Amino acid sequence: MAGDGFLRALGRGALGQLDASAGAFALLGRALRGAGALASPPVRTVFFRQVYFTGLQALARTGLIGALLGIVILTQTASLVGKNAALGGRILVWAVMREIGPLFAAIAVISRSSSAVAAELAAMRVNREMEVLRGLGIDPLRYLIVPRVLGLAVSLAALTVWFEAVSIAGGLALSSLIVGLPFLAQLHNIAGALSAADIGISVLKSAVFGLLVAAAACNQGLQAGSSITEIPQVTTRAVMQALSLVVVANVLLTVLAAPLR
Amino acid sequence: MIELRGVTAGGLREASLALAPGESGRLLLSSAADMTLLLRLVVGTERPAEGWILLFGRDLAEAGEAERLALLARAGIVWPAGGFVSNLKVWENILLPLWYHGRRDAAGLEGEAVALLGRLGLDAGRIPDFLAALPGSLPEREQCILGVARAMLMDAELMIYAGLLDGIDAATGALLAAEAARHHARRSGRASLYLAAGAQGLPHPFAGLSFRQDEQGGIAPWL
Repeated sequence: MAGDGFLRALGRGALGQLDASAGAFALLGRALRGAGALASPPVRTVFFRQVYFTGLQALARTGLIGALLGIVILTQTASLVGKNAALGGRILVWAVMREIGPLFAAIAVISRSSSAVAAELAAMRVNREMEVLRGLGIDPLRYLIVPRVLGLAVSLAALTVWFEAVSIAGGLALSSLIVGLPFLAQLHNIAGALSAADIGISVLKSAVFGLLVAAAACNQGLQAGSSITEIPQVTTRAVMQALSLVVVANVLLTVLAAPLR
Repeated sequence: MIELRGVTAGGLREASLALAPGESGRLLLSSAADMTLLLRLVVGTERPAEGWILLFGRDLAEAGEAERLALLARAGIVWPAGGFVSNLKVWENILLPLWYHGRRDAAGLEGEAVALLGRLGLDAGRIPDFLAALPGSLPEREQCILGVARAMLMDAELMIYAGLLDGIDAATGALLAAEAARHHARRSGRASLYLAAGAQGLPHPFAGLSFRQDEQGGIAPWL
C-alpha cells in the first residue's frame, strides 16, 4: 500500500512537471511569435538591459570558471595519458565545445538570471503591475516577456562562446605553465580538432537552452498570485524546471547532432 | 466614452453608468475592493458575471486583446497610490506609455513634465531627484503625483482617477483636484471619471455628475 502511495505521488509529480513544461512551451511560442515587438524602442531597452544583466555582468565569473575548468581537464588528461599534446587538446575541445561549455554556461545563467527573472516577474504580479501596464495599453507579453526570453537566449549563446574560448585558451596557457604541456603544439592541435559543426552545434544548443531557461523563468514568475510568500516558491520552481528542461534538451540535441559531427 | 450596462461583479449588482464625451462624473463606491474591481473590469483582468462594459462605444467582452489594449491606450487611468512599474525610475514610468505607443519622445516631453509636476505641488528643487528615483522609494503623496502626471501627459480622451484624494494631505489634494479639472477642460470632448470608496477621496465641490453605489449594489444618482 505504501508503494501505491509512492507511485501515485510520483505520477502526480510527473503530471505536474508535464503541465508546467507545457505552460512554459506555450509561453515560449507566444513570445517567439511576438518577437517583432523588439522593433519598439522601450521593448528594445528591456532587451538590452536583460543582455547586460545576464550576459555582460556574468562575463568575469563565467570566464574564471571556464579557465579553471580548462586547467582541470588538461591536467586530468595529462595524468591519464601523459604529456600527449595532441590528445590533450582534442579532449579539451571535445569536452568543452560539445558538452561542458553549453551546460556550464546554462547552469550559470539558471543560477544567476533565471531566478532573478522569475522573482522580478512574480513581484510584479504580486504588486499588480501587470494591470498597471495593461491600463496603459501596454501588452505585458510584448513588453516584459519577449525581451526577457530573447535577451536570455542571446546572452546564453554569447556567454557559451566566451566560456568555451576562455576555457580552451586559459586551460592551455595555465596548464602549459603548471603541467608543462607545450602551448603552441596544443594550440595547433586544437585548431585542427575544431570543426564548424562543433561550433555551430554548440551555439545552437546554448540558444535553445537560453530559450528554455527563459521560458521556465517567465512562466513560473507569471504563476505568482497575490501573496509575497509565493515569490520564493516560484523562484525555486523556475530554477528546478529550467535545470530539468536543459538536461533533457541536452540529451536530445546531443543524440540528434551526433550524425552531423 | 465609458459605459457600464447592468454589470454584476463583486459588490456591484446590475450596475449601470454612462459618461458621454465632455462629461465629468464621480462615483462613490461602497468599498475599496469594488473600486479596484471596477478598474480591473475595465483593463480586462476580471470579467463581470453579468453585464457589459463599453469603452469608447466598444463592448470590451467582444474586443480581442490587441483591440482592448488599443482602447486602453486612449484612456488615462490613475490607480490608487499612483500605480507604477517598480523596476523603472519615475521618469521612465512617466515616459513609458508615450514612448511605447510612439506618441512622444523624451526630449519633447521633459519641459512639459517638469511644468506639470510643479503645478501638482512638487518643489522645483525636488523634481530632479523625484524623476531619478525608483517609485517604490517615494512617499505615498509623490507616488500619487507620479500616477496623475503620467496619465495627464498621455493626453487621453478619457481620464479615470481612482482614489485620487485618498491618503494625501488637504493642500496636495486641492492642487490635484484643481489640476484634474483644468486638464478635463484642456481637451474638447474629454471625459473624466473619479472613483473612490469614501467621499473624502472625491473632489468637492464638483461641477459634474455624481453617482453612488446603493445598498443593493446598483449605481444611483448621488444627490
